[in-house]
Amino acid sequence: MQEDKVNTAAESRGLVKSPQDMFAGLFIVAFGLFCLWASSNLTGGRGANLGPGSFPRGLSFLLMAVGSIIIVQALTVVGPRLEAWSIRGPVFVLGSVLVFAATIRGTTLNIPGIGRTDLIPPLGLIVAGPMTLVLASLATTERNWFQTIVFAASMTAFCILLFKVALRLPIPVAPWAGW
Amino acid sequence: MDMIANLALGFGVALTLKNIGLCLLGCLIGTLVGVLPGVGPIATIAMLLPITFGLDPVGALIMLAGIYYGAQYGGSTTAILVNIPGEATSVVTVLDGHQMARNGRAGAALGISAIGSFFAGCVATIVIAALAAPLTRVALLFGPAEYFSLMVMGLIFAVVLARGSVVKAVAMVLCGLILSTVGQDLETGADRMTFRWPELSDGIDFTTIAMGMFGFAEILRNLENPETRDVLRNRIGSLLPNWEELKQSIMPVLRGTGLGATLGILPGNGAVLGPFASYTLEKKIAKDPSRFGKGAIEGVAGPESANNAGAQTSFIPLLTLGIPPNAVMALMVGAMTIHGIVPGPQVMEKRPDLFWGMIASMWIGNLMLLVINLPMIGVWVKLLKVPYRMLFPSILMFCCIGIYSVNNNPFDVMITAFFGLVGYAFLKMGFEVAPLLLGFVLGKLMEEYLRRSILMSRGDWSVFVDVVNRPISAALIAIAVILVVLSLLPSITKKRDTVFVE
Repeated sequence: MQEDKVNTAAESRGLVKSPQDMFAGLFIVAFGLFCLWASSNLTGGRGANLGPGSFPRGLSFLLMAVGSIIIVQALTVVGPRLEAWSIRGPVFVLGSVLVFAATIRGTTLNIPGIGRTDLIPPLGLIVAGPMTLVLASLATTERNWFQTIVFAASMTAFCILLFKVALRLPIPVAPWAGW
Repeated sequence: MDMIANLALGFGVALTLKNIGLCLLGCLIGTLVGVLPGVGPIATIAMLLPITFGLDPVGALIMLAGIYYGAQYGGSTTAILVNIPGEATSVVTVLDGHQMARNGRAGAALGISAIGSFFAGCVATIVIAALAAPLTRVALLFGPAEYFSLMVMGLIFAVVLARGSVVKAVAMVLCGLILSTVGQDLETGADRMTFRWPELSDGIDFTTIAMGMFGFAEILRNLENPETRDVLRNRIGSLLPNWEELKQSIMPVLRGTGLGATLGILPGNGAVLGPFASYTLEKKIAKDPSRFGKGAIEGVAGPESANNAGAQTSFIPLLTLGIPPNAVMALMVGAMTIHGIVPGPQVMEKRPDLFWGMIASMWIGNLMLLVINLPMIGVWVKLLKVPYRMLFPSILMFCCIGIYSVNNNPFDVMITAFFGLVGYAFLKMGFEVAPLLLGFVLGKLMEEYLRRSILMSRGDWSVFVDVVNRPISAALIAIAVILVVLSLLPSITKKRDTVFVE
């Protein structure tokens, strides 16, 4: 399988022999630069006394060096193309996780000029659960609404019984009703 | 003998009703996780950490350990019956195991893998018990410089053993190390790379990285490649191998156990090599190598034993030196820290009940797994029929509740989603994320030991390679350098690729 990929990729190559590695190398160099900038306000050490900035900065330089090696490899060794990113999976899967985070205890934002504002009230597991499950289910193209809704309801009930009733984790189930 | 007295103490701890129950629960969850493809032990242990908060440390670790080696058993079931590895370590079992199933010997394949694993598990338990005390004494000779060098060597091992490009694996280790520095500096209290976010000043929680990059990114990848599950429809048949098959398996089981146990002790995830090494060895010394790939029982017996032996002996670096050799052990460090235990040589002295109780529980767990796996095989096969479209939302839900419960903080859940996206991007760029997690876990310790060594040597960076005063440290660095050189030699690189392709 790997072989096929390399062979088909080898047909048309200009300067960049391995686009996947090129991208990877650029990313690592950029991340190294970012870390260097982020740790630039920290004091480095002198002599025997390494400061809080020494280790992160040293690592940033190493990252940039390793990233450059990957870039050089991408220019010399033939490798796989960049794979296409799917949109549906990441949007619905990660979206459903964010929805859980935003609704489980509500969201309060500190907006400059207005002050602390409640954007979303605390909804608890009983609402956040089914929302997360249904939204996540949208990540596949198979659709069976009846099944999805029954599944979301029973899974939420199971989680409440397991985590709140049996294991007594302090997770809000229905905060508006004081549970 | 000390060892027998110690094991007796351990069995005393492990054989309480509560700990037997937790061990059984861990083994059951582990088997479940192992059977279901696309759900790994890393994500599961991360997911279940909050559940263990309410337990005492001994019980918590017994259960988590059960999940880990239980998953090794379960993974082989999927490999044999469905032709996809349930776990990364059962990749090799697929080759001959599934062919045996096609030939109507599914029962025998399952049987021998369970028996081989049980035998390997028993031997590995004894190895841990025997080696723990002497290795702990060695560890007490270690100063900061030795620890730093040992961690460098461990990370180099992990890099060399990772799949794919060595340079890319180095990049991942460095990313992990640098992520570990986020948050307050332990010595000076300075906020590092927090961008004035109060949430970040305690550092990044390792469960958020583990679950995001392993749990969520894995789901995203699985959604892209819908697998076809071709569950075997033939009858499984008798679970006991016949006399002929048993005779053929004895030597492979012994050799596999030896190989797996030895490789498992190496820092840097040597355990993954066990099954590959065992399969290659069996094929090489077989009278008729052409039988391999067509249902040779040696090709199941050897690797399965190696796999289980390695899974268990990889506890040794963690328990004696306090250095996790792979991502799962890294999570065990987290579990221990949550319960206020610093892993390392002092655990055996200060908490003998915990140390020996956990080791004894491994033997009990292996016995349980034999019982869980063989007669209950039908139940696990049914589980394979749960469609992924119901499985993955449930995993997501458990993850969300799990991460939220670590600190009761929704912000952690958002961070995890972010790391899920990062993990997905890494997959697309051809990075393997396991070295990142290892780097992240070792990062704080490494920095601390580095700073202490340099302080003690008054700024002299040559302490790590000082052959006269610090021979252990110099030897460890030398091994690391040799490893790097070897891994970059073209002939070895080629061989390494073929090992992973097979």
